[in-house]
Amino acid sequence: MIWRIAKKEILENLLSYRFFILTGLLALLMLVAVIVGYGDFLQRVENFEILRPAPGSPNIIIEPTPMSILAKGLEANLTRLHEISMLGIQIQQNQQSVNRIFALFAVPDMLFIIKVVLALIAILFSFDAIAFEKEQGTLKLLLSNGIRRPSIILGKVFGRFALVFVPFAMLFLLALLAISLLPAIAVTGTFWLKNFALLLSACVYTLLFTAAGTFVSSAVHRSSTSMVISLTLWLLFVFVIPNFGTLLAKSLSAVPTSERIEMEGRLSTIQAIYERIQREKESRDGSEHRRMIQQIRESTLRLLELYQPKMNSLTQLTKAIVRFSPSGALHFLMTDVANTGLYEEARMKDAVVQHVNRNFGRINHLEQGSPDTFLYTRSSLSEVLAETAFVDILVVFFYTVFFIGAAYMRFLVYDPR
Amino acid sequence: MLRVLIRKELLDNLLNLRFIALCVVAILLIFSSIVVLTGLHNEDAGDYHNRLNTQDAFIDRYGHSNRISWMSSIPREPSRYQPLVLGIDRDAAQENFVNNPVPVLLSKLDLVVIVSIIMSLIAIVLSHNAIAGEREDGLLKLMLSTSISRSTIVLGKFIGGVVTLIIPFSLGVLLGLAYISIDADVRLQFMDFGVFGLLLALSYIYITAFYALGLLFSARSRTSSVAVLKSLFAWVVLVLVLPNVSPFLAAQIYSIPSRAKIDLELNKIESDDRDEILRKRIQLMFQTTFSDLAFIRSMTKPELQKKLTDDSAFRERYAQYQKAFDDLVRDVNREQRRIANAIRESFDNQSHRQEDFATALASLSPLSNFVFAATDVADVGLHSDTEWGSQSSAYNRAFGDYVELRYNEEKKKNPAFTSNDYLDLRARPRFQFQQMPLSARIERILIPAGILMVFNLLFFAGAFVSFLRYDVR
Repeated sequence: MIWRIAKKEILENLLSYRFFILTGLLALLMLVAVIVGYGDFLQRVENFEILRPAPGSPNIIIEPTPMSILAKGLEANLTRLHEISMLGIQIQQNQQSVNRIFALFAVPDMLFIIKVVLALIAILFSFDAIAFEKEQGTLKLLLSNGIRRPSIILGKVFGRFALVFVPFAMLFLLALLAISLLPAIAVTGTFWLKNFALLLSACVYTLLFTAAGTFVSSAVHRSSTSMVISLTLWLLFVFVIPNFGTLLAKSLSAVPTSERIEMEGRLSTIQAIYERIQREKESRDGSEHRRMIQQIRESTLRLLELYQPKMNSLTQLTKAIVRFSPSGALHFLMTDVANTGLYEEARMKDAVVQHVNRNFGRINHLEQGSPDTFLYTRSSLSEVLAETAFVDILVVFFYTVFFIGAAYMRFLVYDPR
Repeated sequence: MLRVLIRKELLDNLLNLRFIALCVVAILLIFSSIVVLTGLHNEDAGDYHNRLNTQDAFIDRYGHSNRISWMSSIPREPSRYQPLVLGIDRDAAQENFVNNPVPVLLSKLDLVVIVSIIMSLIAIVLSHNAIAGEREDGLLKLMLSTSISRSTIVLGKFIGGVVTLIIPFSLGVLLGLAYISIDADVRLQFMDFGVFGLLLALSYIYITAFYALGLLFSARSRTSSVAVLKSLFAWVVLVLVLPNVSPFLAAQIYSIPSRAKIDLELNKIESDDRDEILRKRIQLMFQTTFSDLAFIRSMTKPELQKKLTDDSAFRERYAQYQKAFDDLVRDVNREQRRIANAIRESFDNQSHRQEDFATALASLSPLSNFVFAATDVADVGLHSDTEWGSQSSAYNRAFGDYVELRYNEEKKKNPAFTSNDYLDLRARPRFQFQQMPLSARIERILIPAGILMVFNLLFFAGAFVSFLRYDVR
């Protein structure tokens, strides 16, 4: 019976104007996302080719990933040039100036489409699922037909879900195919695997918002009320909680800003340089340079050891708070799967620090030989899932089950009079 | 009659659950964003002063000509309007290795984003059933059967709807402004209220344009559900597609080399090429003018030192050589810097042209016009960023010249003075960013604000005409 109801829902909407427009809208947005994302990616590849350090140079830059077309995340930060010298690790920014315009607008990558637009579409497709039939009086008719209520509500949820998700999935696969055919992109098996994971999370996420809309729809009497309440919920999940989470985490953990840490580091470095100059004035036994470098290194290391864990715990706390919103959890999940998220950022930083520690003597010519080449492979899907993404998956699943359950319970006790 | 209709629309909306929900959302969203950004502003302002003081104290105490640039780069003062308008957010902290990446990942929500994306969406959601919805309810027939003219109805709907939207929005902003005046480190001045007023006015124009857009599609649809879809589609195109495609299209049509490439080329001209030229010119010098000194190239340092103390004629000649050498280095440096600057300038010009083109393309969307105008009013937009770039590099040049001047003075007094010795720089020029006066900013936003008004009129005229021809059956 569920399937018959679901089929009715699908057929009722399939030929509707709504379906047509929303699919066209998704297609348009995806086209823009792929075009803009690809252009952005090409620029990073070009930068990488130009800035790639010559053999023997201690500088570090990692290769851009094509997954950033789908979820940009922190990719712009990850693919900057890290200049390694006796002064520590410094980051070079060079941006195309037209990118300043991008900085003013919200860039719609695939993640944005899923997190914001797909959720909105799911709400728009489900806010009237029950309330409209109440207004029209067809719900009473449906209930008098001997169809069990669970079948009705589940049929409605899954029918409407399929209406949103099936065209999305088809367009998503089409976009992937287009990306894989683009000239600058070498597609591997992991590319498809990771994108499959993205599609799967988008699937659950769509179900979540469809269920949320249906729940609100079954809880109120008018579809316009249902629409406003569902939209409020959408705003809360997509914008308000993630925005507040960052502030709350910051005020809860007293971590000095990175600017202060940087100044502290510079001061101690400069101090080391001065002491060397002073020593050179008094005696000159050739050990001043070595001593200065050691001194700078010690202070840099002390700073890193003192503050990096604090920064990491701030990130963790922010994550924990933002995860109260399923959209926040989805954001973390998708960027982590695409290797452009917080997990990858921390992992790469760690690798850079380790590399510098291992090669310190050779980078600063205290030892013979040239430093090792920095080799970095981004984390695999299984590593991401095991290390961080399982929490996000749990959050999204929890909310989905919660809203389906809530819609179910609410509809069971509905009084049709 | 119009007054009665407006009152009807207002009451209709005000007593609605929809309106209460809207109020709660708008106030919550705007207020929370202002609270978050005020906290950020206070932090940034603290960092800025900390950095400035540390650097000043450092230069006063340890000033020397070598490596001074490391502690003399000027940070940009956070804008006093940061709690409302982030603009081009040059997050300085992101250039540090130890940093907090969360703000980059979860983009910050300021008033501009709230108005341009969320309020515009709310506007079309509120207006979509204004006409088509009343037709479905049968109210429209009833209303037209009285003697009220159609133009009065549509005007009443428009004004009533806009007022219902603007009340909760203004409440949220006013609450936020009250919070800023209590909490933020900025002391509000008279001019700031002008800026706030302009920002509010721009927001009203923008929100009204989208309400009119919703009304337009409502008057062109039979049912309200079709209307909301049409408006949503238009919203996506105007708000998400056009602004983002324009920089990309501009870069495709008017392509310029990447900044990394130019930086690399400049670096080559100013270091590798310079060294090469210098090497050749020195060789030439030893072959012509100073051919009598060519033998010093094979001497070791102690030998040279010994000859300098022993032979006074040689000492004189060596001093001439040293002077010629210094002049040569200076000339070559100057020449290479001139070449590099020419390239830099032409690249900057190209960049500006590309950017202007992108801006012009983006102006097809009301969102871009609103964003450009709002960021320019708060002086954190593209223009101010460019202005900052030129002013700060002019200061850096002036500062570099001053350090060189002081170094030469000290050197004259004491020939043994090196670039690692303490240099008194306390009388150095100080940097003060010259912000654009409010009148110039107003002049600057006239065009985007004007385009925004044109959108407004166009959408409203469309709604008006469509409603006059609307089939109520």
